[in-house]
Amino acid sequence: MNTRRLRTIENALSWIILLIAMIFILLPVVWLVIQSLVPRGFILDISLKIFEEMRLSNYAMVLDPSTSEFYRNVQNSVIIAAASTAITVLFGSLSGYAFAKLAFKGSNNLKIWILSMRFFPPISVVVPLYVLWGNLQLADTIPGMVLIYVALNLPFSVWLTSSFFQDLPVEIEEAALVDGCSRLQAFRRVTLPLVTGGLAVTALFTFIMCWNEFIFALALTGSRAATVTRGLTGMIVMYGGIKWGEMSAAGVLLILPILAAAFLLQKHIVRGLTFGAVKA
Amino acid sequence: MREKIKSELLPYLLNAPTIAMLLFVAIFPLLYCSYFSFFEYRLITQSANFIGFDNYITAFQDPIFLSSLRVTALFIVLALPVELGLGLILALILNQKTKGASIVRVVFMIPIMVAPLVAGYLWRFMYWPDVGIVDRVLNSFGIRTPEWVSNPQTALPSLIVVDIWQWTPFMFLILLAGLQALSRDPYEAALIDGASRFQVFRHITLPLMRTIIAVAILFRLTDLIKLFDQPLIVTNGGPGFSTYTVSLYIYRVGLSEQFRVGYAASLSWILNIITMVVVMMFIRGIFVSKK
Repeated sequence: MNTRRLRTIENALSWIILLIAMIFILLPVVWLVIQSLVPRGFILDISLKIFEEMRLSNYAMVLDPSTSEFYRNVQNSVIIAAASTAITVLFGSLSGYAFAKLAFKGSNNLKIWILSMRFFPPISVVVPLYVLWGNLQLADTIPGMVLIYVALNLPFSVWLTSSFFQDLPVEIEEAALVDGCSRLQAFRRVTLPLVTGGLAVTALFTFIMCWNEFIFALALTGSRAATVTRGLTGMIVMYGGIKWGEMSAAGVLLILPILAAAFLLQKHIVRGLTFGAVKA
Repeated sequence: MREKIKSELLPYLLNAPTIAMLLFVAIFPLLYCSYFSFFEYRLITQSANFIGFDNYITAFQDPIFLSSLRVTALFIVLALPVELGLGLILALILNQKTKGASIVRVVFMIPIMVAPLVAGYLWRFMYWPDVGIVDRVLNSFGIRTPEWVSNPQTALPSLIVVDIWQWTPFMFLILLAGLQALSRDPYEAALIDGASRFQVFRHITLPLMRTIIAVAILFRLTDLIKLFDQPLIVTNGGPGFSTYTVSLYIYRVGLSEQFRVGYAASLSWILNIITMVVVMMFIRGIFVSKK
């Protein structure tokens, strides 16, 4: 009886802790959404009246090409992120397949070397790339950004796809080889269909990382190839003052598609966050 | 015979695009960077004079650079343990829940997915004097508040709170996945032996979770070394230079205001070497021993 009561108290207590943590996490996001719906910047008094004041006018302003650059930033970001993702997943899965399914000399060292590229501070390539991209006419262009984002996300893509290829039992492909398929045929007809889910997960993660990337976008894009993150920082300068409502609306538009994508990734989130090191 | 050579070359062929991209966009710029770290090179004047190790010597006498190293170290020392501790506690709690667990997990995914830049703006709005939600809540309880981001005493702690908000969920999700993958057997044995809950945690859970905790720490540690987005947006390195991280300072030196590219390159290399040492310590232990 006594232990049972203790259990109930403990259960209640742990839910209170979880609830506080969830409020702490959600509050800033909710605040951003509310801010984005109020036409004139900051809400001056918090009361139920703000619900009457709520409008979508900030969103209209931000998305109208005649009043704001943001629409073009979204276009740029979609093109850059989509192209980068396609190339990254293609190149990454070729490597990933080699690491997972073929034994070769130096395999382990090469794989670690690729991973270590991910840990270097991007700032140390930002400065030289600024000079190089300027000389190569790649600064502030979409191809210039795609090249950077492919290299930036390849370590992730190689490791994650490799972990998905490793999940497939060796026997499947071997059976196909015994049946007289060539390696390419075995790959196309047997392995590839089984790993499409994993490749989709890799692609979605890569897209998110390109979309959210900031430091390279800040340093290497300007009027022509500005991405959403670059556009958001530009808003302050552009208006000569901070327009809270419009910036909040842009912020919401920036995170909304990502949260939708993340929702699809739920099951694979931990695996993605750890580059496939933790298979959960 | 030809078939055999072909199949021996195949793995290298498959890796060629990846290696080419990394050589072109990462290794070459890094080497280029180390080259002009030996020059007094300014983009504005396009002048470049060879000065040997002078940039490196200047770096260690540059009070702002030393302060930025300290700030970055403080982030690591203060934010990371809190994130790990809170993440572990929350994971241990949720691990015992069956009902409602998936909702909690979804909520915890949100901060990780928010672009760090947007997280910066979010919190800048939250910390805004008087009208921001932080001041409103605290003032309504009669608590007098400092100007969070422009007061030298509170600027860095305010930034650390932003980092904790965004990345505790990262620790939580990884550790939770680790806990859920643990086998039940040792726990049942411990239960029979009458071990206390703390003993079970200390002698069973922690040792089994070692690798996964190390993976989580490695990712957070290297991300904190790179920290750039939030400090730029929330405090812009201020007040004064008190919240400049190393990355933010290198950016300022190299690509805005001063355009001292040579000096920025030398600072980058100092940061690279620090990163290399840290990564070496972890990476072998985690990623090699498993194979």
